[in-house]
Amino acid sequence: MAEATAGLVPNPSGAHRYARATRAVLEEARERIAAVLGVNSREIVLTSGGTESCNLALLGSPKPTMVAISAVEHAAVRAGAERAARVHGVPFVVLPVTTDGLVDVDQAIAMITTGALVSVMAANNETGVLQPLDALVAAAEASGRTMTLHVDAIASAPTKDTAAISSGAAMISVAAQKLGGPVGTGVLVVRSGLSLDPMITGGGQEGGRRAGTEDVAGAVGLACALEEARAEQIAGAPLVMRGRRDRLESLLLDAVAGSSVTAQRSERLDGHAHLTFEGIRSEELLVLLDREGIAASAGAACASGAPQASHVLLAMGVDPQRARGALRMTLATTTTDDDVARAAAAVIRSIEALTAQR
Amino acid sequence: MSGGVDSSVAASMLVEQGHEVTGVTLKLWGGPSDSGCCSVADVEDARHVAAQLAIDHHVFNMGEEFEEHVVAPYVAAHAAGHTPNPCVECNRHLKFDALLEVSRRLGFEALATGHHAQVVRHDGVTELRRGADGAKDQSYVLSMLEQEQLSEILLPIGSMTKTDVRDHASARGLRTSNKAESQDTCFIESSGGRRRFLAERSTLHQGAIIEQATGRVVGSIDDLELVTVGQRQRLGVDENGERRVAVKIDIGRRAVLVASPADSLISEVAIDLGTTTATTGSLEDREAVLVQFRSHGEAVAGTLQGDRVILDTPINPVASGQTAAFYDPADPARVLGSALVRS
Repeated sequence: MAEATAGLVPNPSGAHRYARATRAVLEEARERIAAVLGVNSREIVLTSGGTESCNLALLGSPKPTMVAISAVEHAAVRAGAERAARVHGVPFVVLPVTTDGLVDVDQAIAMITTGALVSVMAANNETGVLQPLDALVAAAEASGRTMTLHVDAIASAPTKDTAAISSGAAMISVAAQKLGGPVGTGVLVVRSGLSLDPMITGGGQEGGRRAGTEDVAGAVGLACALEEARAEQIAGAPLVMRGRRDRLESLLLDAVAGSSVTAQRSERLDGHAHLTFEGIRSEELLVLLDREGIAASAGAACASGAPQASHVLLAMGVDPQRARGALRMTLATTTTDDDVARAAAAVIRSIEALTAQR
Repeated sequence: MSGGVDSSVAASMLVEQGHEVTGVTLKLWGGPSDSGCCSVADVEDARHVAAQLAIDHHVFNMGEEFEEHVVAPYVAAHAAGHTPNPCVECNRHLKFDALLEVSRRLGFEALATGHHAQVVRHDGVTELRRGADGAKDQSYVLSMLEQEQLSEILLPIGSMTKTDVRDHASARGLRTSNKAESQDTCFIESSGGRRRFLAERSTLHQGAIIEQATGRVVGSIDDLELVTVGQRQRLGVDENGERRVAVKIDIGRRAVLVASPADSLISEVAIDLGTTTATTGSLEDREAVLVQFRSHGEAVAGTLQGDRVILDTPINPVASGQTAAFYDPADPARVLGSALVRS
């Protein structure tokens, strides 16, 4: 990023040669982003991150007949969808998921009307469960219902080919930060033919879809992060990661009574380990793991940072008490066998400490 | 760490005393609130102070316990004509019970808070005493603590005045040094007050205002459940031009009984023996006490006789549901125990 933007003037929109040089760097980054995502560079809208991308998709789309989202969407989608339905005065519909964490395609099709704006994530950020997007798109076509589909591919982008798994989408959101890129940069893919009203108005940047001077360094960072992730995917890194993830899960399942892997029967992201532990509160487990230098998550937290029962688990029918004992650990391509052994040992030790004093 | 200056300084004092300290903020309330222990901004303040002190910080979600032990009983008590003290119940059930248990499970040796009160240990016994700053003393809302809890808690700012506390915070550049104090019930917004909160969660009824002495109906009030025994507002003025005082809430009759200020004075208070607590031993053999019925009220002399406190000098009426905090007449700063007032 620093190299690509060194010596450039910040604003690519000027009429002088210096601005043109900056513009060239931005547009080259845009083309690289488009190439990884399998779309045309005119279909790329650069944003400030995943939340803005999801919000723009839902709030910028023309008035739909309804706004429908899956029950396990991230707050960025859920809040944006609720607001879009309110602004347009159309129904807000939540599509249920099965106990395996999958959108129930038959039920979804029965609930969706023609002209609906639908948002379903490619994979869930907590459980890692991959959603049946192709089946949903095919079923909608077969039933004659046309819909505008937005796919939140933020959690899946590091390990899955976004272009392949979101092929039926009219809009796709991706965030650089999840890919190891810069925080504060995201992209919304808007397929051609779809009009989009900006949320931020001004100088008409990003094809009139998102005003404001472009973050050129961020765009370069996003391009690099996407290309690196894609190269790792092609090289098979996610499969290696999956092996380590499976090892982590089986170590915990073997050692901790009352533990279970969430949505084990479903196809899940390779780096996501999500478990629940009976009789354990996530927040207490996280304190002990934090002491050991293990950065894990309960999966869901309110704005204050306090863990709470996850809406994802509750939507899957997980018992609320059990949902309070959730633990999500994510692996990266840099995670080693030793890291996995150390994390498993720390979790086991912590749970023993928490249950010993009962 | 509520995000206020007192708990910030409590943490800072412990760090400076050489303890290994971890900051915890309780997320108790998800609904609207002005401040207190509940808002995101307060959590951010607590987290930043912890960072300034270079200690770990965690947020624990105890919303369900808070609803069960504090908010729901608060609503039910008002509906029954009582005036509960939610801070006492939060301390009893959340901070010094649920949180203390978590603290033990996580292997901590003590739980510290920023209350203005003091714990003094000698001969294997822990005494609870008033805070050094008389105006800020919070021993009342801790009066229900018993040896089991007292032996595991630290109150690092209890020997300091509020001015000392603010000076300590500003000398160290703590973000909360000049933060305003939260005074009111943390789960009730000042804009709507108790009225809106209780109206949303229960039904408020119109009540007759009845003169206790004559049985005469002298008026009515819209929200009987909001009336507190001892209240003088909104009840009108009697023939002698004196404000009427609420002396009894009779939910069954949908009435508030009133009396003149002179007639409303009471010389004994009934307590619920099932709620009695003692900081050390028991209150059973104790006769002479000082008793305080409000957070920042005055302690008055009296005698414990079974389920009654006989007062040496008559006082204004006391609402049922309030806590009676007992202090030692021979050592007036020492807390003896507590009980809930019944009607």
